[in-house]
Amino acid sequence: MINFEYARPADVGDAVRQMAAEPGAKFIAGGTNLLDLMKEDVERPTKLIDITRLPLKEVTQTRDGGLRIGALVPNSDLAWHPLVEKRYPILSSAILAGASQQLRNMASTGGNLLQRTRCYYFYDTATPCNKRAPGSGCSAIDGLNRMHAILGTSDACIAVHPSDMCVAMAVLDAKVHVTGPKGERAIAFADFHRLPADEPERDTNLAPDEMITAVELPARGFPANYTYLKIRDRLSYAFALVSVAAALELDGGVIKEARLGLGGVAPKPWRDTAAEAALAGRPPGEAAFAHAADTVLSGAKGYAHNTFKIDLARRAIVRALTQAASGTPQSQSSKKIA
Amino acid sequence: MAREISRRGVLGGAAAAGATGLGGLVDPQDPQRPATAAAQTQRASTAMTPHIGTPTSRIDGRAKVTGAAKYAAEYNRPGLALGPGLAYGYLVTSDIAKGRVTQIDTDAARQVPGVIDVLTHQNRPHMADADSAYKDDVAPEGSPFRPLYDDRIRFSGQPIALVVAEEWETARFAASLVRVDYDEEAHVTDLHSQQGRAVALGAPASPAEAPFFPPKPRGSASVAIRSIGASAPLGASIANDDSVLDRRSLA
Repeated sequence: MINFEYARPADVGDAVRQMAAEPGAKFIAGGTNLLDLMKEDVERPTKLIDITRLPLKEVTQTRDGGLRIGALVPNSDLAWHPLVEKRYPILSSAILAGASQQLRNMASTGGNLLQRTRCYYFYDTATPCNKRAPGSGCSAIDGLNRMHAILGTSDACIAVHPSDMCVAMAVLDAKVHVTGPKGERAIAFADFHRLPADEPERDTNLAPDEMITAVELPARGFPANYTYLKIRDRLSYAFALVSVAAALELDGGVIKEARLGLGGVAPKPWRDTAAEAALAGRPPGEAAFAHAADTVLSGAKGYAHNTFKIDLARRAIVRALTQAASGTPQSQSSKKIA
Repeated sequence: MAREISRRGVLGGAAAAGATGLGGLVDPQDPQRPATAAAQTQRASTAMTPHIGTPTSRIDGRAKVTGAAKYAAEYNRPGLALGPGLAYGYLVTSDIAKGRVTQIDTDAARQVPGVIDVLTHQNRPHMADADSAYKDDVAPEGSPFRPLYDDRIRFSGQPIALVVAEEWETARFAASLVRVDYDEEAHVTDLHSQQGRAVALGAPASPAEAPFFPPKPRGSASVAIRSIGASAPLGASIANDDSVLDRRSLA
């Protein structure tokens, strides 16, 4: 047993003060990722700051018609929350596409944003990995990389961000509220996660002494025309090879506004606003959808074992936009691809 | 009690008990409560068909979904068959895929309080050399795997040391302190890059000549059913079963 300190802070201010005072500390909420990483020797925190008793478990409506989701709201509670099911069904769907019921019961909203990649080399401490040990090299670029990224990669890292929930939050234009020793700030979802560039050890723009307190959704939830389509090696309890969150607002036979995000293909939840803009004003259909897919994938780069993801993503985008336009979202209970 | 009920279930109708597994041994309205012997006999004697498509509560379902079910290693309590005095082991596995172990430094691991021993190929108990000493009737052809046998590394993750301690966490921590030096050799692990070297196999003349012939069955269901006196659910196939005939001729 590698010993660590354990602390239960009294409030959010106390939590961030304790974190600032101990650079080797980690916050722990559901622990569904951190405990795995500790068991595999990938993380060796000197102190665990247990935030599970802090009052961040509420889902409340905001004054401008949106929703504020406390950082400790379990993934299950969020997926089945009546307001989320009714106004943001794409978020419910994405959450239910991920992990298992037991994991979703434990996993928190904030923790989902901060989960680390499932790259096998990141987990295998016997191999070089720039994300785990900066400067040691990337084993995946010339190794087994079937699950790895085709967009947003760098010479230092081609790992993918594993979250389903975050893809939906990205297309919904969420904001991440954080608190640190210097006070509170809000980070646009698109700016929360980072691309690896030459610092793959930094997954997010959260400062080391900052804590996520809430995720805020704006009023628009696209409840009529949306889908979350997840393609994976088996139909449940598997990470996405490619996933697509698509949301449309249709008006008189044309697309008034489109939202398009991908999971499983990039180091961060991959939203493409250029493809969204290209869809606006066009009638929904194969031609517009294929053009959007080409736009998303114009910069895609495959590696030895994952080039199939480019074609897979192209087809998944077209399928997802078709599902969204026809108002027949992908079911996450039957899982048969519609 | 449980054993007696289960034997009644089997005696009453082997096919029915087999189709439902252990599920037939509990009251479906309350999986915690074993069904009465009379009710069990009655249920088991009905035909097989009602069990197909009928939901049946698992005997261990409640324990598993509530997290109360225990793994075998969690029964280390005084008074139980396994304890007290049960020790825990944690493996140190190879970081390389092919080569030799040149040195294993176990000093730091041994100094951790609670560590009982660290076994490696250098200090393991005696182990048979000949392949024929290893009996495993479902193992494929070839030499058996001998854990901690010598310094050769044949695959990534191969066990190369076993840390034995009084607590599992102690063993795991001490295992992280074992230092291994290797003489690494080139390895091949990328199936994709080797596809050009694949060899086509001809169709075997008979199943027995197939390169991956499945192991022979170790018993006969029909013999087992006959031996406990149940009526034959498999009908005429029993008469064609050589092992049944052998048994009769011996009798």
